[in-house]
Amino acid sequence: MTSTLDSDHPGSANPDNMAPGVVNPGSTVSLCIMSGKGGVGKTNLALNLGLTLRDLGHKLLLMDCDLGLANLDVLLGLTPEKNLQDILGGSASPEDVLLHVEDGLDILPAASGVPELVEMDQNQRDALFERISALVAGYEFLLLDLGAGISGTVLALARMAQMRVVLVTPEPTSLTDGYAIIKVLNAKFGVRDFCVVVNQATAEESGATFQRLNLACKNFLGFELVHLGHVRLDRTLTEAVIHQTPLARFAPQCPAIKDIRVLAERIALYRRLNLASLTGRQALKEFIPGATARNP
Amino acid sequence: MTPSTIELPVTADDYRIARYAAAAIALTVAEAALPSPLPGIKPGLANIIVLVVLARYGWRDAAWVSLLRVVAGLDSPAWASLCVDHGLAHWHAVPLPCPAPRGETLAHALGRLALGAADLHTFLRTEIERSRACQVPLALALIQPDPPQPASGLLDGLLQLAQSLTRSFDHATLMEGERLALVLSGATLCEAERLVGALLRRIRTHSAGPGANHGLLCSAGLVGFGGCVELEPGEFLARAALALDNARNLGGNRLEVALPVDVGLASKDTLVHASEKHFLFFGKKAGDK
Repeated sequence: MTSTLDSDHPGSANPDNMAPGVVNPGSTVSLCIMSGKGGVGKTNLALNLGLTLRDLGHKLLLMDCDLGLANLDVLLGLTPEKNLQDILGGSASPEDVLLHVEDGLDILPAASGVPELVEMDQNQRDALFERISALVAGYEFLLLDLGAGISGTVLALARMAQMRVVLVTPEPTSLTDGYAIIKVLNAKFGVRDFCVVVNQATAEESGATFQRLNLACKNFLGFELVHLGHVRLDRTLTEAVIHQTPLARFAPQCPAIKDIRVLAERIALYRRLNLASLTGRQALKEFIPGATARNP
Repeated sequence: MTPSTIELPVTADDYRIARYAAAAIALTVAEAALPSPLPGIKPGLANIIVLVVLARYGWRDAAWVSLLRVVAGLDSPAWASLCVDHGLAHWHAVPLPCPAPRGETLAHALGRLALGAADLHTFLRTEIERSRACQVPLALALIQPDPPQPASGLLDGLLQLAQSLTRSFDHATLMEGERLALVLSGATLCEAERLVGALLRRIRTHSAGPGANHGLLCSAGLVGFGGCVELEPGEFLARAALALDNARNLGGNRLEVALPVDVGLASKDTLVHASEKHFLFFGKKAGDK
């Protein structure tokens, strides 16, 4: 079995040789994309954001966390034999499941049509992250493409990530669901830091949509949101999906990709500015590697 | 009939323990009367007595003194309330205000034991925990004859009938000698409603069979739990009892189903209220111009 990790990469540190206080040797930033409502473009944003970050020279792992109804691999025209279910079942290692998309971008596909995986319990989550924690250390970014809704799995993963991006569209339904997931995470787990991306919107619409959501959070929940940016409505995206080619490769100069590039630059800047402190923070908060290992 | 008296032999050790416990209580009372230099903090001088007993007579006597000085003065209802608050009811606990436990509390505890109420509580707690962990439904039905017939052989017959008709993993028991409790593990509210409805029909036809003067009519209250919220056995029983009361208040001979417990107890902390939706849609609070 050959590992896809680049041993020369600064992120691929051996945890055994880690300096004291360094819990995240690769300064990996975990970022989850969530929305509450389905069909707002989470998977497309995750994939194209991943490719754009890769184009900026970053190495990242994209994990399909829409467990049970995964389609990240579908957008790439891939038909993986193995998925996260095999890692959980112990029949495959994370490296076996890993799909190499391009240099610097790998994906961990999830299963489609397995309802049992939609609601992972604490034991399953711990087992999964225990198995992939060494893998994650080799990447600068871990992008989690979460499923729709406010299931226990979605909330648990959103809570564990270092950055939470709430994707909304200007539609009232999307806005309400976006607000609902923010409120649930805040009320249940005390989470107060959220970035917002407005999809399928012009700069003006994005500003107005963000303002409403931000003011509602300020008035009713007592904290403010960060406006990360927006992505314009782009008809080319439908064509790219039909061709099973990521938009960033199908039409790299289209308006939506230009907007996603701005988002990628902001996220990359966040990592650069926080590089030192990131080594002392878990890539996945509240997950302690080794705590569940039977034979460390 | 001559009332019988039970004489409890009192040993010298009992007197000694009682004296030390009395001294500890006196010290506690005295300490309570004196103002403390630090508000909210008491030195706990009575513990000196406990330590003295520990040093002189060993841990067994010290434990008695320690226990007696704490529980002395609790009357029977206060003790019962303490047991309920701390989930001790299923331990058949009795207070120890004096070396001989209070007769009525002991009788009550024995009564609960005999009637299966304490066991039902314990069983329900286990089933509720299982329902929470596995997200499987649980239903509880209380069945009572119309009108109530406390402690009659009729209820024993009902219990036997229920045990013969329910599934092997269901639990049927008599509660407080006047009603039948049915715990239907893994049954949804719909399934439980069908099962209890069938049971009520069988009771009617069974009792109206050969040799019976008239058919036995019963009321039933049913409540369901989906394992989504925290729930105490007492709360579950209270909701089933309320449904049973409703059935009886509506004329009896009927089954009343309570609202699912999960709905009633679900947290409202995360609910997106109408005011919040209004703000999201219109950018201002309802009523603002």
